[in-house]
Amino acid sequence: MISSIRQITSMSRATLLSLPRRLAISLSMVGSIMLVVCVLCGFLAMARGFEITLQSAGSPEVAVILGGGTREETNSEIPAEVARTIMAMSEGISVVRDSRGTPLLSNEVIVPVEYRDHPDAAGEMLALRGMDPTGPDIRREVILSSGKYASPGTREIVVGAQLAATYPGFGIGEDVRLGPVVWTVSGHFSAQGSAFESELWGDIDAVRAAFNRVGEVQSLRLRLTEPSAIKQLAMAVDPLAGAQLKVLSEADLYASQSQGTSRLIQLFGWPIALLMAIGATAGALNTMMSSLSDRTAEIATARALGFNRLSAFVATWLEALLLSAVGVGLGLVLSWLTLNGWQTSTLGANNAQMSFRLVVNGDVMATAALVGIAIGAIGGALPAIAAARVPLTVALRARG
Amino acid sequence: MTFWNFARKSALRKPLRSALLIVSVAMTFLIYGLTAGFVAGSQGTAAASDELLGVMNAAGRGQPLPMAYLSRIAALPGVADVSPITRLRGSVGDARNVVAVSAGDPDKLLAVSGADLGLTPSLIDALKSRRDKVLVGQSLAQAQGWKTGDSLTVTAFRTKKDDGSRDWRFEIAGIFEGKNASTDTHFILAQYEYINKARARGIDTVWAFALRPEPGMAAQDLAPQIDALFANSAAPTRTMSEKQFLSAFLSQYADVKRVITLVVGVSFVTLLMIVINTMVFALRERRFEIGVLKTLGFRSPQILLLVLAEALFVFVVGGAIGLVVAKLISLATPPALGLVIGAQVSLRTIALILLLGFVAGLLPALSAMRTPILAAFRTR
Repeated sequence: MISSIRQITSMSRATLLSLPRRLAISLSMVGSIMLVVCVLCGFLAMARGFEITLQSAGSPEVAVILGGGTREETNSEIPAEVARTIMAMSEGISVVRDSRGTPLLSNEVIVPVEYRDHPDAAGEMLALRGMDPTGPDIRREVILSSGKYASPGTREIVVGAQLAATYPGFGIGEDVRLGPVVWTVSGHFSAQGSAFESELWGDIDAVRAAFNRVGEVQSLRLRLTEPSAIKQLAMAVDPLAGAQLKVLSEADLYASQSQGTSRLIQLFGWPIALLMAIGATAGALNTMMSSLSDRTAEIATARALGFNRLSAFVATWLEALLLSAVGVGLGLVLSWLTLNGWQTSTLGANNAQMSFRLVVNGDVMATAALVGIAIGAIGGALPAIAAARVPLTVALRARG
Repeated sequence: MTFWNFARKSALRKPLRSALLIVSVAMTFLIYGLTAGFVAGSQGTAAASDELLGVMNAAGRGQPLPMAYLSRIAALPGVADVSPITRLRGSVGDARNVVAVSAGDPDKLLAVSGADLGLTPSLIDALKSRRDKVLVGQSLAQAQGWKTGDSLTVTAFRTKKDDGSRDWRFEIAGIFEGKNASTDTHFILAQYEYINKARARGIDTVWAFALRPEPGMAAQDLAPQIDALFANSAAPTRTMSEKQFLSAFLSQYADVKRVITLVVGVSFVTLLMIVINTMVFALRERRFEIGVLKTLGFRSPQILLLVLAEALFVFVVGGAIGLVVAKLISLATPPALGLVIGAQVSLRTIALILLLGFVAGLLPALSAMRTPILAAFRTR
């Protein structure tokens, strides 16, 4: 047993020390595994970044009421009497109220608007949300980073930090044309990088007037005193049946939007990464075959001296694993350095642009690393078996 | 032994090694074929026309234009035909089953985009037979299992009828097939008059005007003329070709093209690295043989060609496998995914196969060519 271990260690050492003889081809294996890891990391980081942006957007303490039997704000419609009835509820619902005891409630509409940074640009669709003055109070997670919120009845907008960072035209005091009218940027808000930061907020009446939606309300938002109060609220609005109301927390609303897109990214990314992995496995097999043919005489000599088959197998396999581990390590470092935090955007819910950052975190790295190591393990196993079966006599006849 | 025979023999000298290289090459070109097919096909812009122009509100997509613009656009010299287009999005049955309805003037539609959508005069006559008749694109009809004569109710997201309901009833008058497989036919064609008269808001407005320039009139020259016509009116317009519109729209979905270029670039780098290194290594094993060939009187260019042919062999076989598999996959997947591998993509792939095979073979070939006879013998 002990001698077996000693055989394995000395054989492995000899193999690894002979690596410089095959430097170029070994580096190609390291490099190909590195690139596969980078591509996989890229796709996974995109999917994860998208999920995180949406999942961190909503608060469980903010209740959203949608009408018309839909789970999306764009298609929802709320009759005016619903808001009036809720405002009149003096008890029975645990929501935050103002000094006079009226529930803090915001009527909201969301309109996709086209924005062009300069007259010849292609134009991006952004989400413009019209809300009551109570809107910002309900979203306590959002911080006004500079300027002020839109005053009621004026054509002023506050801009999410992501958008403000992307488009220089959204500086405070700037005039921007959205739809048929010109708006003035009155402030910027930040929300820890979540999906809110891809929105523009304006006064609900100004937004409805500008986009021919007078009188429409798409959603109501209320601040709950605690997350569990949502059930109570749902019960309270249930009698207002005709409107087919749906009560859900803001956190759930945004989280459910993330599923489709992040699945799409993964559906696109995994096949590509797997095809690349197959190609890289073939490359790894070749590298290890070359390593084997390079060392055939040595292996046979060692075997003739009394080394067992296991040590030949382990030494070869270890080389493959080591090379792939180096490739994985380099790939992870490279993708962490270059991809993590890379900002990109896609078309999200509400048919509007949503910015998000790529997130290379622990489980993204672990998945990519597993695939990389698997390439080395599979690519190294066959040549290692072949190494264990090198015939002594034939090998000794070879000249190095 | 002829030269090609010799090249083939040396390529297959280590069959496993060549097979593995072929696998690597095949995978790379499979990725290339699929992604190029994806960009060309689904992404719709392959079939989109450079000739068709759309006039939209400069304030943004979704902002209406007055119907009154129609006659002014039609009167402009160089405009052959123009149709008003209004759109309605809604669900059929299940709220998640979303369909898009485009409504226009039937006769003008035939003149403007009849050729692209595969509309025939008889289809248009069927469409005109009653106000609520519609034509359904083949891809949508297939996906929903609809056939001519069926009725359907679209629950619109935004567009309300004047009686307050959102349910629009239509009857299918026919199925249009599109010019070819890559044409987007995942929508319903309705009549502008029907929707315009029945809707509660936005009467006599359009989402866009679709127009075809007269033969000999370049679309890119006509577009600025139309925009100049309305530059100082209440609703200035923005005119672009169908292709420009689609690619601007699609670029919003993450920079699809940039991601794809990056991935394809990375996989080509990987491939070249693997092949060049393996071949250099393989040739090192064969320095003796090359020395023998030179002693026998083979000239350096012949040695160069020999090694190049070997690399090209691997690339041509592997690349062909990759391309064929990509083509098979594109035929097997539903058209909604929009994978189209046409002649253009195939030709580009073949050119790339040859180019990369040449590049990959060049370095090892040069080093083999330069091997001095003596050095070759010293390896023994």
